[in-house]
Amino acid sequence: MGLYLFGGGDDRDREFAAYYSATGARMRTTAFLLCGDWHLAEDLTQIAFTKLYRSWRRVNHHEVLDQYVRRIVVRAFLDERRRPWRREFTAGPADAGLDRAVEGPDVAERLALSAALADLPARERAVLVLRFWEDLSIEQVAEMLALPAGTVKSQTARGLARLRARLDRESTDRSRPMGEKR
Amino acid sequence: MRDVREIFAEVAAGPTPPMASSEVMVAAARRAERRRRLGLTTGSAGVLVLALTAGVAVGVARPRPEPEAAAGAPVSPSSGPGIRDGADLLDAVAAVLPAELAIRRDPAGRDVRTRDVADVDTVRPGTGLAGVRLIAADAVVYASWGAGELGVSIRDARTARDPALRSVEPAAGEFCSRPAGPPGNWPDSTAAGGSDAGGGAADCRSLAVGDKVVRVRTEQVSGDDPGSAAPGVTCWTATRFLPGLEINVRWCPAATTIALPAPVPQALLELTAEQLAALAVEPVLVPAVVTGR
Repeated sequence: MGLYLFGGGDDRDREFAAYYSATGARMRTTAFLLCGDWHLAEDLTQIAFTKLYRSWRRVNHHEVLDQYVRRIVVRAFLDERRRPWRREFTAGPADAGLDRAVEGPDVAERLALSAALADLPARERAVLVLRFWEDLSIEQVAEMLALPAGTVKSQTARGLARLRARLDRESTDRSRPMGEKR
Repeated sequence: MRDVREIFAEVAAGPTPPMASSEVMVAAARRAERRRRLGLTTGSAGVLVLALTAGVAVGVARPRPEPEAAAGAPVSPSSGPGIRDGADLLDAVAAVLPAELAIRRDPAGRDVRTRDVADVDTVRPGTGLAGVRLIAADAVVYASWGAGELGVSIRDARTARDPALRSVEPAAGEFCSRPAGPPGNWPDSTAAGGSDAGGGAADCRSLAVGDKVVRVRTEQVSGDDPGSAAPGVTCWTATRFLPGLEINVRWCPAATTIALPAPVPQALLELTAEQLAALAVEPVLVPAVVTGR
């Protein structure tokens, strides 16, 4: 592994900044869909780009870069979920941290969708995000998550089924008159 | 069921907090790389070994506010080695840790584990809260020559759904008799003491620092407070509320685990409630645009 020394850092920084400007927001959105928390998404994105900076000279094709950063984001997310101390910080609603109260008819719907996604196990959620948000193939997802393709397929099916069941339940609950018990 | 792509698009379509600029990202990445090159290793027995000399670490430590900064006076960077206050202490620790790690010790003292505190960088001397990205940060320090733990936590207490739940700074008389705690359950501020409900004068009081009022709680650490001070010791937490923000500064006697690059004065290890409150009033923060995080 080559050791990057700081000579020529200005060029590197300029290129890196341009790449971050072009792709950072997209990566953060992916991270948000994975974790459901904008601040954690920001952290995951910064972790990924910090690692990318380290190997910037060695990875210079954008398609490869995108995949590289995405992979770090996903793995950082999965690592986060495995750490028991994460439980200490799961306080407040999942969307806490936004600057203003959100008004509008779509809020309840969005919260329901967010809650449904949050109910999925981390790996299933990652599979769905990569398959249907990032439009990656089964093979690409399998490579990124170091899983067999068959596992990606089964987790996709299971994740979709869970999501469907949860949203159907939500929908039924919301259409039921107030006060009526299930 | 709707298409999954639609669901993702809708979930992602809500309001978003501001994102770090590219300048900030570059600065953060450069700093992380610099730290990595400074070196830090974990010994095979789980004991943290800092591959640093005092000179290097002190040199890396950032300028910090003078004590009067806590009272709201303009802050000017100060120079000189050594650890003189809580800000210095946090600075020194932040300077020797990799960006994503902080160190805590198992209460039983059996092992050292790392705790991911990516935002430890934000725990820096500074002049205020403007521009600070609202995060939960928790820097924990163990000083080898004067057992102690100093933690600073900054908790974003806002919620988009219910503005009524946002924390606000209570009036002076309300600190110890609020019917419910602030939103969320930051463990340090409620450990062993439960919620704030009915908090009595014996373990909760308010101190005025300049024009700010700070709540100071005394708490007994229980054995199930993971990664924190040894069970049975007394900790003090100073809490300040800002709109949407809860700031806790906590001090506990604790077991020793890592060596800092400069001596910690005994006075720092015996923080008075007033000093603690002063730290909470003027938390050791710098705007995100400077720190990169």
